[in-house]
Amino acid sequence: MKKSIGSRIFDYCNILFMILFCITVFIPFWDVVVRSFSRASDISYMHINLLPKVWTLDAYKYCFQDNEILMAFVVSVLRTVVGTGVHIIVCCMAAYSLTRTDMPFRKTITAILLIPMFFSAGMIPAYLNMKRLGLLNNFLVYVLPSGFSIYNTIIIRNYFFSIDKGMEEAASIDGASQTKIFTSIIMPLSKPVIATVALWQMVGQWNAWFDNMMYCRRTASLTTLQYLLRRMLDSLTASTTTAASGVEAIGALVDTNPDTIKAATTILVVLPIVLIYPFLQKYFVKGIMVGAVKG
Amino acid sequence: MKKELKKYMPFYLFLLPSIALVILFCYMPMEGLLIAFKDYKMARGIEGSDWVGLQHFKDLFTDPNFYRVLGNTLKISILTLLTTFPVTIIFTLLVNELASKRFKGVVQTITYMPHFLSWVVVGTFVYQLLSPTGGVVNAILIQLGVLDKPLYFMAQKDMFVPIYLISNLWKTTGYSIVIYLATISSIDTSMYDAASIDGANRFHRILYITLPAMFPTMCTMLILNIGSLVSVGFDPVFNLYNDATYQTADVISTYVYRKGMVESRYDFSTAIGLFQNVVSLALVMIANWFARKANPEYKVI
Repeated sequence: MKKSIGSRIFDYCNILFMILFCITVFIPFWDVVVRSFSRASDISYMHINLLPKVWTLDAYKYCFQDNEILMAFVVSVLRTVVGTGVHIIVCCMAAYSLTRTDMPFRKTITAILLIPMFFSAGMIPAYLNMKRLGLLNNFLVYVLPSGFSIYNTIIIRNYFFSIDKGMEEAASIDGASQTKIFTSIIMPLSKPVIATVALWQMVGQWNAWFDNMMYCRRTASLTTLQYLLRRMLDSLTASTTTAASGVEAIGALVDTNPDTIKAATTILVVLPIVLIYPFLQKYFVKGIMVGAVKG
Repeated sequence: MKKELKKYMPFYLFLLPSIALVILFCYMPMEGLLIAFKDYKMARGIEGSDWVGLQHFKDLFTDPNFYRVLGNTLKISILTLLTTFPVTIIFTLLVNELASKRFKGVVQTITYMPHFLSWVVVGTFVYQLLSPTGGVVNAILIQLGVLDKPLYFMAQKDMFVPIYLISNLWKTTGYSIVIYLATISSIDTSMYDAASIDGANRFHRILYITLPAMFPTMCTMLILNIGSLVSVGFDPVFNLYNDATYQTADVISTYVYRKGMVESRYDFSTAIGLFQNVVSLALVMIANWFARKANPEYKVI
């Protein structure tokens, strides 16, 4: 089939538009990379730097010598690893139980787990509750509240349903306990869905910062990388008020964190996500499809 | 019955951790909602504080700040809906019209990426791009002669909403087309062939085949979005606003945070949060009811 001229013009415009759109998405990333390798003195509003004038690793050297940044990186990694582990164990166990359609009280239990999805107490009651539980300034506050999610549990359960019942029965006849069946048959067979949910949770944990600000604000040893970046942003926003009062104030707008160090920290925050991005793409899309179709 | 329970014992044990977590972190905080009706004193605890009835709600409805944040919330969520929705649909159609599978993949790979970043990172990007001391946007505008001095965009209160909407589109568009592309991929291709034979051009095929096929998904998404009308997310606003833009940027959730965590007015702040949650719940319920009417296959869970 021959394409009409109009159709061909549309194709070219479309491709051009897509390229422009991709560049738009890409610019902030490129900008931060350039900054992180630049000298602080080379950054000014008078020039657009497509590449650093002089390449330097100063900002990264600073980051890797700064105990606060290194510590925050460790805390972020820890909460991601522990948080994801707890989440997977708790959700898989719940999902396995919820596959028993004839279990007594199944409906009641499902309702108990489901209601919080529609109504939550809110920010302040949650804070007072954490305080009462003694979880303020405690690492557990990063991994326990996010330990269970009904949404992920249902996705895992739907996958469990698709596993051949025969295998379970055979193992049961051979005398395997439920725990044994769960750990050595169900879990190994469910690797794809576990990988999906784990990646999901890893991104969530790595990106979390609000719990840090709410519950662990005052404990330096529990500061995560995201919150550290957020605080750098704060020191920037604090200066907006001065800047708003007059253009001449801009000269005085000297930040406590030079732009280049902030850029290098941003790279440290974004890099792990970029590294697992190929996996994310593969599983995430599948994940939302499972959620959408089987719902 | 006893035998049944015994048989299922391991399964109940498997459910223990999840039930414990839900009780600890979802049900126990609900007791704290009582302070919305009390004069909360930290030293006396939730139980020991005196009842004040609906006083906090009376204060709330006479507080001019409340109407400002409510107005901002509605304005921002409606404008978000009006921008993301058409942009998502058009972008889906355009991506779908790309002939090369490979190029389509590349476009999707690049445009998804921002979805996986936190709003802290996106906020950092925005501040940096719009910065008056080295931001790309100021540099371009000055080179072009549009501006003669650098402008601090983030401190302009009229700029907040546009900046918010653009950042939101930047972060979400690439990802939100996924669900629509899946719907399109389920269209029977013979329909397009038949239409071509009948003389339909490309535009006709988009208008009469692709768009109608997307319609049920569009309805569901639209209705669900309406359900979250009074709950503009905390993250995007909190990471883009500052004292200079409170007037146009402050939404209910950020107001709750500042009243509660910064000014320590726990009781009043809880009352605002309760108001928001109840209205949200009602809207979600209504929206779900409509979604089920519009699409019988649609289920909440």
